[in-house]
Amino acid sequence: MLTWLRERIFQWHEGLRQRPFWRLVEHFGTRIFQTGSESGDDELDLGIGTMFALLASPGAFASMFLFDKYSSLIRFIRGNAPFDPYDASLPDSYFFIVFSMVITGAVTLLKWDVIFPDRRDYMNLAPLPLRTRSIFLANLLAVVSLAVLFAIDVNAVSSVMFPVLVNLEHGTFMLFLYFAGVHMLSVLLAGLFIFFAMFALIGALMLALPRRLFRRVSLYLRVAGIMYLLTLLVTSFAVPTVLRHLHGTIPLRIYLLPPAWFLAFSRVLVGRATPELSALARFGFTALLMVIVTALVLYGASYRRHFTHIPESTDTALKKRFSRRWILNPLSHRWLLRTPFQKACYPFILRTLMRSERHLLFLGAFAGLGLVIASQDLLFGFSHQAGLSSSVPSTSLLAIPLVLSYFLICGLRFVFEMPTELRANWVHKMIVDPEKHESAAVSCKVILTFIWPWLVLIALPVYAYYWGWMIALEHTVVVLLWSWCLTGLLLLRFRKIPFTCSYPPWHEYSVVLVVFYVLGLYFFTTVTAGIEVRLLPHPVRLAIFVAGVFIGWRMLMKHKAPTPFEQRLIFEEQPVSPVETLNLFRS
Amino acid sequence: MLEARGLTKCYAGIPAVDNVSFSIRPGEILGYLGPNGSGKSTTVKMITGLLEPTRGEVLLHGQSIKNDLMAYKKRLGYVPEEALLYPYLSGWEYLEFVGTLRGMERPCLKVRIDSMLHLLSLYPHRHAPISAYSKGMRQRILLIAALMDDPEILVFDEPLSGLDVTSALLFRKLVKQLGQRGKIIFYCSHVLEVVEKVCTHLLILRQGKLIAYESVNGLQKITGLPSLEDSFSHFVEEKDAEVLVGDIVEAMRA
Ligand SMILES: Nc1ncnc2c1ncn2[C@@H]1O[C@H](COP(=O)(O)OP(=O)(O)O)[C@@H](O)[C@H]1O
Ligand SMILES: [Mg+2]
Repeated sequence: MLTWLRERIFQWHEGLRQRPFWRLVEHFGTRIFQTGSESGDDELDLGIGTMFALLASPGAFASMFLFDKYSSLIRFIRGNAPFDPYDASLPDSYFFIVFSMVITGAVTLLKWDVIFPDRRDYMNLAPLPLRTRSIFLANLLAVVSLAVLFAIDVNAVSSVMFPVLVNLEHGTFMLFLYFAGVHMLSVLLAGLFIFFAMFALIGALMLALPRRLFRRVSLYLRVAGIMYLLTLLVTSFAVPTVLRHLHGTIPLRIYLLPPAWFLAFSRVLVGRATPELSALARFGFTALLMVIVTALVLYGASYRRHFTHIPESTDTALKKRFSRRWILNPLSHRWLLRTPFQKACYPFILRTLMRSERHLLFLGAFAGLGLVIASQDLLFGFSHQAGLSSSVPSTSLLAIPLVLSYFLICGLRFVFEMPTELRANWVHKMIVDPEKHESAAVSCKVILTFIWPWLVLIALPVYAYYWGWMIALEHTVVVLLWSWCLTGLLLLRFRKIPFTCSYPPWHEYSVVLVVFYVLGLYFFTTVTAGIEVRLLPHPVRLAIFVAGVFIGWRMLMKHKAPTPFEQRLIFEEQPVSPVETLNLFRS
Repeated sequence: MLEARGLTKCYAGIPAVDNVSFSIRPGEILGYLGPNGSGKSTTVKMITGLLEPTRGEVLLHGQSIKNDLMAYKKRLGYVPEEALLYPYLSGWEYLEFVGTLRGMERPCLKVRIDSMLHLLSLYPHRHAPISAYSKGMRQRILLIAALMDDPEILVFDEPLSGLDVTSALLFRKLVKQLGQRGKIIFYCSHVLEVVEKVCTHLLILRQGKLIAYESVNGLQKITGLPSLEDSFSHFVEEKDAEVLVGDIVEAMRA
């Protein structure tokens, strides 16, 4: 029976594959999982199965953490008051909705360029006897069904586990099913909403902008999109309280939070909605429909405009750019970059970074996270009265430049590991002496280029305006030195020219590393700022403290300096384990 | 008969191809010659229906190809100048993909792919991803993709790039024989030696303008020069090669 069924499915699938239209759909579907680059090896590509499993796992973890809240035994031990699981589930529902939106949105942002048929598709498909319309419809069908699949996958585990937890003791099976259905529907709609919203955005941009500008602007928008998603995530613990106490007119900012609409929607279906929530749900539903229609219309229109004009356009997005001469200006050449290696690599690294969308995107994600945290510090700093008036800025106001530089440094260090065009690195292999290179030095200079200018030009005057030059200077010097120390530590054993080495293998200790980075953030920002608050009024003490840390850092760097052998330049990562990993997912 | 009438394409107002007309009867092979940037590929894209001409039109058997572009594309085999293939597909998968999209019958498709892969000595590599192929191998894949549906019209845009001597020789003979079989062939190249041996007619292009259009024998007659090589450079080159080479060597030492 089962084999018969499998046979039938196989035959049906084969039959579909032979029809040009369905073959195109399949093509566009698989293409999304492939990486764009020709060499293929400078991309970290996971198999489809791994990807789906990875996407589903955070939902599983998140539901596991909730066990503690809904389990009656644990509540009993703590001696809690009577408990209404439906009411208590509101914040968690909200979190799952946000979560679904964030993951679906992030995947859409990452895969943004492969959603639309590109030049390669044009060159391969346009000469074939296919109608432009069927190419378009096939692409649309593939993308939308993948989005639905993703949304289902991301929420698969939580859609079962979360309702089980909520209905653990009170519900009947029917109630459980109903609750699960409502939950699943609301997270799915939320995921689809964000997908279609981004889809509409791409369409609108393609329609409104000339091609060259589109690529630029789309990058900024993607970074902005990531920041928006991060904001949703960060605020997901505060919003439910606001929603619960919603009375009378709904403030505008609630309308700007799509997860709130879908939460309201699920509340309405569960029968726990206040009139305000019902209004919000209606609004959300209309918005969803409108976004879907807009997305389809805009996408269709932009498709007509762009895809059919691919041969007329050249692929030279880089043709007209204002020349970045400052990279090479004589001053920096004489004083900043002393050796030929540095003179060559510094502009190379900067240019590669600024022109590679993928790298900018990841850097943007780090910077975005930094901005989100810094803005919270800012809000916190200003909401407390003492903030501006006191003679010394508060801890959270002091921490802002530290947070930003921490994330920028870590982000840059991270993207340095990501290769571009590995096949082009033969130039470096040919010319650079692997024993005598200064990749750490030059990388350090690149990182500090991203930090010191704004510290001096923006942070210093701002602090000076509010708290006087003395405080501002002291704080700026501390941040300058701290960022230098951190960069030095992170580059201690760095022996690659950025972007030219293959991806490092996935180490088991990567999780430990994440913990380290979080601890690092704490020390780099909160602890430093805390000490500063005490020491800023006493410049001499501060100077002694800073000098002490600085000398300690230099000694550490000397002590841990790599031997010439460890310092040898590498272009290929060897896996550390003696056992070779089986690359099952890379054919 | 494939016919181009007054083909013109302007990019931002500047003509890349300027008022070019020609016709190719079944069995004829038109060699389309010109230095880099002279507008060959632009012409090819207009003939294949990828690019809308600014002025002029392309006709097949007296009918504008725009009237039924699908039917026209079904009868057309095209080898583009850049081998933009899907690197994650294997050679076999790519061909099967193209064949399916062309609407070819299943059994016939598989047989043709296999035999063509054999004949062009790609069979051992048929399951390797295209990203691992050399330039010549990719070019051969493109060639198979163009030939496998037995099209009536063949358009080659610099088909020899990356091919080794043996494959190039094979390809030349193949084109010749396809011509004898009554195909309409448009052969675009900047290498004169090949075109001269293969084609029945020659068209020379410079900066988008047609500067000579003759049968192969006719060209020597009108220039009065003994070999085609001389007549080609007579038409196309502006600067004396010897002087240019001297300048380059100087520049290396400067
Ligand atoms: N998409 C385009 N946009 C602007 N100019 C183009 C475009 N494609 C080609 N050109 C210009 O048209 C001219 C002819 O190009 P092309 O037909 O590719 O030359 P060939 O194939 O003979 O080397 C060149 O000067 C080229 O710069
Ligand atoms: Mg060309």
